[in-house]
Amino acid sequence: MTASDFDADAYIRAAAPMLGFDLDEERIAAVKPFLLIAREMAELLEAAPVPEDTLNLAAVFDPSCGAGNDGA
Amino acid sequence: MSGIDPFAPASQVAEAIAAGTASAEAVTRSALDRVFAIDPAVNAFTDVTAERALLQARRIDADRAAGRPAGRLAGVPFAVKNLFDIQGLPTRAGSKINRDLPPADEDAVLIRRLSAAGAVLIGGLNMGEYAYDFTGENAHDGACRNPHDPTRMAGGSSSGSGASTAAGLAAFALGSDTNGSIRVPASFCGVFGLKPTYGRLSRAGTFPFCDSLDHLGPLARTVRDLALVYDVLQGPGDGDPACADRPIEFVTDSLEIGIDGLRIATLGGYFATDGMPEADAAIRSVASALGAGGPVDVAGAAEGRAAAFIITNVESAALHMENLRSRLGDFDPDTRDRFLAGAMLPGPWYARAQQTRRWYRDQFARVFREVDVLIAPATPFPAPEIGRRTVELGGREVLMRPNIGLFTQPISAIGLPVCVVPVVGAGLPIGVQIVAPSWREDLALRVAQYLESHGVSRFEAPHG
Repeated sequence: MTASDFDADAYIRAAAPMLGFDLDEERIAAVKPFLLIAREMAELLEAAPVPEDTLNLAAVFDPSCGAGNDGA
Repeated sequence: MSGIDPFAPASQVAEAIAAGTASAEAVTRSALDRVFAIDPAVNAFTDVTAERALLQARRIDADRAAGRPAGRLAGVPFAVKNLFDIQGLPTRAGSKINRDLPPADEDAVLIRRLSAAGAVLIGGLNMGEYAYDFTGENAHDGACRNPHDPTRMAGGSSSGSGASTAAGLAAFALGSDTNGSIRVPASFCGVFGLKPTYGRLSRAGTFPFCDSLDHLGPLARTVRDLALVYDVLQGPGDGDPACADRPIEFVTDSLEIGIDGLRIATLGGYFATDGMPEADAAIRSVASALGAGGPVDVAGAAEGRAAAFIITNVESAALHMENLRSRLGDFDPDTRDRFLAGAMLPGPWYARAQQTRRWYRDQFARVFREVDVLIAPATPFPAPEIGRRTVELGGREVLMRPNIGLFTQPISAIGLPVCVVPVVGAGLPIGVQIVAPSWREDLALRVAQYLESHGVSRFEAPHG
């Protein structure tokens, strides 16, 4: 799927109720461009040459609760 | 300011007070008077903490009279972006919604450290709502105006931090930077700004934007002031789980070492400044003064920026879910629809962003095996007019807001330390980023000091 054939309008109408958002037509139209920008960014990420079959995420949970770190 | 001009460096103010040639109370009164006289035209301040400031100033003067040693920043007036907790005030974070929060019980950790060093808090500063902004515009508090030209943006989201420092209302200010929010106002307002390494400074007692990318740091009118303040700010996490709790690594004493032996290069490729005349002139001036090599191309900058975009959008939206459901009309229209979009992004996009960010960090690490310091433009252009929505870049008319952070976002995406320096030139100010490897703020500041001492970079007071 490319950004050009991504149906942002349909996606918003499906996702909004699932998230508890009650969006009118004006809001749906206003959110759409931002979803399209995000889709373009996601395409860049999908094409990034990260090592295959790995999932090394930048955010790593630290299970320790050292001094000055409440582990929250 | 008791014979000290409002643009005097913080270091000079502290020396004068320590020497007894100026009193902290007189300096504080003068700073407050200036805020009341000038800020209506700048709109940098949202709260003025006059009473506590004068109380603290009198205490400093009493301590000095009693022979007790003065702190390193004794009597220096400063202000903070209003996402920092200030005891007795709700932490508004640029929003209308947060004004309903109870007042903060205590100051943020970094304010407490500055107060302990004698710095005097004079107020909270304007910012883009919930820090999701590069312009300094705010629907609730009004646009923060650029002191060099009040028809232009101060830059955001730490708009008041840049503007108050440039206007001589505060000797320095604290801001936050997730995608460029210290570096953009520093560039537009012509002041120095330091975004330290991710995890260096405690964020405890500040209202978050995006946990994976949020940094705090100072803005000042000289490199020495930036270093003095940064040295005071360092310390343990004190409640910030992301703080690395590294030992304090002072930078002020190494400022004058110079750049001999440092391998410095210009970032090219993604960071090229074709079609951006002001940014191009600034980067050429700095590169020439430093004898920089390059240009060096780092793989993955566009992907790193994309990762920062997705991570910011998802994490910030998650923070505001309940208010997006129940108080949508109370958001700033310029943040509302972006938060809504962020709430809807698919989980795999977020995971891929965090994965790509880690890969991209490794690309930068390779470059830093061959180079000690990199230079890059801070913003593609100087401060645009307030309200402007598009800009011409490289001969194309493009949307303004997403492109202001074009050069800052790929650096903060991987948490590298950066000092923005204002470059001397004709016209409006514009900055250059001095980028160092993680935990090497000292290198960025040394290079900045070299540029300032050689007249390539300096703060210039606004005319009029």
